[in-house]
Order: sequence, then C-alpha cells, then structure tokens
Amino acid sequence: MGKAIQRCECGWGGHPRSDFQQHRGLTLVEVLVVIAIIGILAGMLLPAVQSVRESGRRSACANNLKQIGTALSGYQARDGRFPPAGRGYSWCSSGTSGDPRNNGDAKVYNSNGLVELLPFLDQQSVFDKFDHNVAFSDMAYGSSSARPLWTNTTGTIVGSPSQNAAIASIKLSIFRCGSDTKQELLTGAYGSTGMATDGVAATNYDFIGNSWTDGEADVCNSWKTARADRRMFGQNSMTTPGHVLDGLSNTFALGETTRFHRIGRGVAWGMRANLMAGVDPVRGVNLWTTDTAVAAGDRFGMVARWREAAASMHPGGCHFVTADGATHFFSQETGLTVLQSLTRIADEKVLWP
Amino acid sequence: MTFFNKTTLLLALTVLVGCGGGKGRFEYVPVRGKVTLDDNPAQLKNVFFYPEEGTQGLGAKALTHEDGSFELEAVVGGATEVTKGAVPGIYRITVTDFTIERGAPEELQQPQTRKPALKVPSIYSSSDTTPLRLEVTRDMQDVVLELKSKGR
Repeated sequence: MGKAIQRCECGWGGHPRSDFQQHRGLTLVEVLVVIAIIGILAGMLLPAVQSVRESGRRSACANNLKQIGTALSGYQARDGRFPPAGRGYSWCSSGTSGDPRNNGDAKVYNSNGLVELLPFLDQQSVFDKFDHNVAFSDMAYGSSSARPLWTNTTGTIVGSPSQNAAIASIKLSIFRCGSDTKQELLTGAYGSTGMATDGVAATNYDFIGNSWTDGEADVCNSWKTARADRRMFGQNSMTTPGHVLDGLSNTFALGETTRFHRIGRGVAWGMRANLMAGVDPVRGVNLWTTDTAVAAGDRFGMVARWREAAASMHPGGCHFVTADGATHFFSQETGLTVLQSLTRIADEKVLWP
Repeated sequence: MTFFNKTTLLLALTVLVGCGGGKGRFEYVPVRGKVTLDDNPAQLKNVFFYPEEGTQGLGAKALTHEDGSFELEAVVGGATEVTKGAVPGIYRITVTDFTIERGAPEELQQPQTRKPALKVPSIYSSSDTTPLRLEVTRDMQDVVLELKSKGR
C-alpha cells in the first residue's frame, strides 16, 4: 500500500487517494454506460427539436401562401377579375386534336400570373424590372417535334425573352418554402427537351389549374371551354368571383408544390415552360415517385409527375389557400371526392374533410 | 462492481429498437382482373379505380398487359414504395387508352411500341360518365371489366 502511494497513484487534483477513493474510481464500463445514456437522451431530444423547427418552417410556408392569397384579393379588387395562371403558352397543341377553341395562342408569352401579383406582395421593383411586352421564356416547343400534339407549332415567341429570364432567376422568399430541401434553381429534369431556360428560380406555390381532365390529350388551354370541371385558373383564364359558383371560401385558388418533379420539373415563378400547368389536386396530395431508379432516400419530396404537383415536405399533407384568402392544411389521406369538389369551381358540390 | 448489468443494458436497447414506425392507416386488398373490349382482350389501357363517397383512400390504378390482365396498385399519399391492391369499398372505374406520359423520359415510354388495337369509347374515360362500378372486398375474385363499343 505504501509503495503504491510512492509511485504516486494520484486521484483527481494530484492528491494521494484515500482508501475510499481507491475503491471508487470510474470503471471503463461505467463511463461507457454514462456516455450511452447521454447519447440516448440526445437521440430522444433531437427529433423533438427537429419537429419544432419543421413546425416553424411550416407556419412560415403557410404565411407565404396566406400573403399570396391576400395579393390575389387585392388584384381582384383592382381589376375586377383574378389574374390568369399565365398567358400564351408555347406547349399547347395547335389544331392537331381536340376542340379547336383550345388551340395554342398565336403569340407566345410563356408568362406566369405570379408575376402579376408582385405589386401586391411588396415586390413592385421586381415587377418593374420585367419587360411585360415580350415573352418570359423562349421555350419553343413543349416536347420534341415527333410529338406535334403537345406543341404550339404555329405560335411565335414575342420579342427576346433573355432579359426577363434573367430576372426570373431571383430567389424571392415569398415563393420559397423552407421545408423543401430540393433544388432552388430549376435544372435538368426529365421532359426538359425544348426548354431553353435553365437556372430560373423555382416556386413552392402555384395556381390551381387543370392537368387532369379525363380523356383529353391536351388540357393546357381548356379553361374557356371547361364547364363543371373548371378549375379556378388556366392559360388566359379570366376568372371573376361570379365564375366561382361554389363560393370563394369553398374553392382552392393556389396550393403548395415541391421544387422537383420527377416527370416534368419544378415550377418557376417568373415564367411558364413545358408542363408548368399549375397545381391540380384531384388525384391526391403528396404523391411521390415510387420509381426504383431513384434512390429511396431521395423519393420523399419528389413529386412523381407534373400532373400531381399538389405536395409539400411538411409531414402528412400540404397547404391550400381558398379564393377568399384563407389557408388550410389538407392531410395526404384526404379523399378524392373532397379534393375534387374543392378544386372544381362550379360543380355545385361543396365537401370538406 | 457495476450498478448496470447486462440485463439492464439489453432492456435499454430493446426499448430503443422497439420504437419503429407503423404502416399507413388504410387496409389494402389485392385486386387482379382483366379488361375486354367487345369480347377481345384490351391491352395497354389505363384502368383507374375512383373511390365513391364513403370509400377511403385515393383510389388505385393499373395498365393492362397484352392479354388484358391487370393488377391494381393503390395511390397512396406520402408513400415512396409501391403499394399493391385497393382499399375495400365501392369504386367507379375509368378505362382510357394508353398515351405516352407527357414529359416522361424515354425509358418510361416503351409501351408506345405496342399500339392499342381498339380505342376505348369515350364514355369510359371520365369518372362522371363511366357506367362501371365495383365493390372491392376482402375475398375478391378476379375482376372482368367488359367494355362495349357503341351499338354492340
């Protein structure tokens, strides 16, 4: 014992250990157990912290949508009608099928109605930067020339859109939802053939527009001929409150989407291009790709295709704003009859979950 | 010596591992069937089961094979894996000709090479006009959807 002290078997602080301390040191196992317990506690705390952070982001995202809904009402108060989802799409068919009234426009603007809301979103300066007399995107065709059904072959792009396209690359926080972890600038995705503009900023919010009319090859310009299945917005739509027979508070005006669509690509706020048809929730919410070619971890948040754009990376559903400016969170388990009745503006059905 | 023994450690581990996630709240039952058009097998048709009021879930879909047969895949919000089957309940069924998915990558467009022989009458293409109704039950027999052209 005495020898051991001479070899300076020291306790903490350099003092010789007492007999008691000599027996009560921390063994390696005990240290490991304590570390494990701390690890477990931290592991339990972390998801809670993450979910609080997500709920903060979620309410910020809903607030953006609320402001856009208010801007919509402001626009309607000024002009007497709501803005169109966009004007002069280059990817509407030109007389190859369907109702000739639904042909693509002679003048191609590829404009986006979100731009027309900018003055009501404290973004007058960005609005003024755009040249509203020329096109916003020079995407000439919706798809390859082998598929003329989906292209506006007779339309002409108005002016040079390069200046407008540059402004469309500004990342505006009002159109951005922090829960979305996907790309902020639109880059290569499927179906991009003919899309000349890369690097424009994506939006997490878009107008409700028709992508799903049953049995029609091309629904891109169907707003003016639509009847019971009319959505609130479309190409060149001229919606007034009078069109919305189901009532402004019972009709979806805009909805959330994610910034990456597996078929198609994301949606820009500053222009329209191929397959940026708006949000059409009639087939469900948060319909992610199940394609095994995509890594399993990347599928969450990746909308399967442009028709199914209604989505968000909030847990369990996404937000919509009704035409009266109120935001609502809809579960991804909401039934189709409910989604359809709130999407159609004049089907004389009003169903809530 | 130590106040933790192996049993306590095992217990802690079990509790930790035991906190797994559950599946969705709907029950899905397998549905197989066949589509015929004027008594011929109808290949390359999109079949969609549209839930009637009171039926839960987001419906189910399938693309028919060359012999007209199909197996339903449920549409499930939030899912990142394919779910076979449909939620039990009553459905309206639409059948439409296959068209290439607009914007789809080349490898998803292969069925294009097999051209559908007969076109489905437009009455079957819309959930508002289709006469096809079916109840999906837990002990389903194979479904046969018999489509008729006008005047047949």
